[in-house]
Amino acid sequence: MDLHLLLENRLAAAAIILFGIGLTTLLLNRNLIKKIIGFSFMDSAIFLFLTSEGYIGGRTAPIQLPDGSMPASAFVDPIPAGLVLTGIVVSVSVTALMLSLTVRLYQRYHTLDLDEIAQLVRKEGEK
Amino acid sequence: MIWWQNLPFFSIIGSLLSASIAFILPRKRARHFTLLILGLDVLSGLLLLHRIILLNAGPFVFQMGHFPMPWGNVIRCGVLEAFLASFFPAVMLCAVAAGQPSLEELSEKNRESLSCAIVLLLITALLAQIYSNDLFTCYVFLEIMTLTACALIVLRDSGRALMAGMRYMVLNLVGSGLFLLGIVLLYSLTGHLLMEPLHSSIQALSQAGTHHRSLTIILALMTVGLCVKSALFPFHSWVPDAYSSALPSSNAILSSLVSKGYILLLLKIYVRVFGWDLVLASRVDHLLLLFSLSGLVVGSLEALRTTHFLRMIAWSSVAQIGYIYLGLALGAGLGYRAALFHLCVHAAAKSLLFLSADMLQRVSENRDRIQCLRGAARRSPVFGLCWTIAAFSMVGLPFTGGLISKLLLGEAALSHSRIVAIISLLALALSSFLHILYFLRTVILLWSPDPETTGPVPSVRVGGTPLLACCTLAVASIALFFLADPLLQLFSLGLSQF
Repeated sequence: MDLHLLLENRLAAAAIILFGIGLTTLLLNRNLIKKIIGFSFMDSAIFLFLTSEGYIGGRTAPIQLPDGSMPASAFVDPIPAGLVLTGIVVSVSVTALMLSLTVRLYQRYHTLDLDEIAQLVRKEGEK
Repeated sequence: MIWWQNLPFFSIIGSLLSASIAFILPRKRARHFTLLILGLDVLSGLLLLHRIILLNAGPFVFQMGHFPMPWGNVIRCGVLEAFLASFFPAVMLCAVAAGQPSLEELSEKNRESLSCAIVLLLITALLAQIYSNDLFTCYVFLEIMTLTACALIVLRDSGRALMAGMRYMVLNLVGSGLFLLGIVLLYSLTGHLLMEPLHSSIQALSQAGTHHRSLTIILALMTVGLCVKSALFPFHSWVPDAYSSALPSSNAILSSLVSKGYILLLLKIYVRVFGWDLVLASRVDHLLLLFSLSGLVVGSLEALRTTHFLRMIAWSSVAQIGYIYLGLALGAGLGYRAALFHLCVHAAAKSLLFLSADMLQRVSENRDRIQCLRGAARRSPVFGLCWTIAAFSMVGLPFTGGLISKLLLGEAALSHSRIVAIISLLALALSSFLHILYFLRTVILLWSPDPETTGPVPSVRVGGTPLLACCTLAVASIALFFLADPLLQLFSLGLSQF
């Protein structure tokens, strides 16, 4: 394996590893709070990747001076930053909904274990 | 710009603003307001369709903030978009109108206005999905659709509904994550998010012979992400629980519209972004074929096995989603046309199945076991007839839209290689046979006299609006058979300009 290539794309590699950790936590962990943490990991990994793609070494934030003297070539790519910001808003909304569902389930069944909740729901249905 | 070219933008923004208004209105007014806004959405779609066809104008692009491509965000509307923008709100209008009796259950919890706001947010996301020409905008509205769909599932606030909502969210978030990763990779490769510039960049990369593996991975991520979100087999585990615990109008909207939004987006990505040749080269169509064929057999088998009425309809949904994906897998031309036609057939028939099933359960003391519904259609003949028509359409019997979509799928399969054609036709035949078994078994049971019922037949008072809405959907299921030719012409024209 080309170590130099891996080092060059270290942020992308880190993002993919984080995405994998988040995905497996979201899918396989039985604890509802840990599932939500897994989801946050997954989304943050994508935002990290996007930000690293938009960054260009030696350039500054895309804010034009009042006299318009900064050339476009002095700025980093502004679109990924905008996308990350939108993505964070979406991610926060999803997390809020997931947390509110978790609170409701906990109030009703007094556990955060998804399998236990499933069993309790089944028992409730049989009554 | 001509005035009617503003309609797509204003239908999206109008629905979004109306959601906030519906939330603060008293419950009865909120319901009427929602029906009015959905009606206006239908009218705007029909007006657009009329104008585009009448003027032979072709698709047009609406620049947001007057920034041209590729700098600004744009929405795009052609024949197909205009048709779907009138058809989807029409189905939703019927679902909301027919689900009125079950919404009264929510009025005790003061949630009726909230449910209206959710429905309007959902139609906003769906309309944005239809018109949007930008992948990231599609992702944002995809998430709004997921959130509102989850809210629809948990509206009843029972333990089962909450659990189903949680399961729905977990799987959908996996799908969203994969889809978003696909978009980000595509952006890093091409530097574009708008579909036309993306298409040009991807074609250039493909012709240069570079990044073939990256493009394959991106296409696979997007396809699997959207398959997970639209509950294609084997990502369907939330479907039976969610559909058997949510409100009937929620079920109708979820099964007939939400999943269709994701499928439409995938079609857009195949046609407008990648092109069918690249899909073929990446062999993603094989993946879709595998999922869809197994889905339509497993869904039908499970529907036959279950003893619960709503679960049977839910499992049938898994099979029907398989049919639509089979059309996509069979590819450009005949396959896409078949997928689009079945998408409409399924939207009309499946919402009718859920809505009339609720009425049939109401005249059977709200029991869910299929055996307990013996004679339900005799107690409520109009809804029994509506359920029967929808079931016939799902089976694919003559004089219903389902027959045409099955013939189209068969035709599309025959235009493929011999192995694909044989496997697809065998799976179609087996699934149709299983559909006949479980739907006809239930229809016979519903119309059989109930020996336990002695004396006067229990009746449930149903207003005229739910009746009218269900009858409209039943007429639509039959009309799809008789109007198949002009519709198919419209789809062919729409796909050529998509």
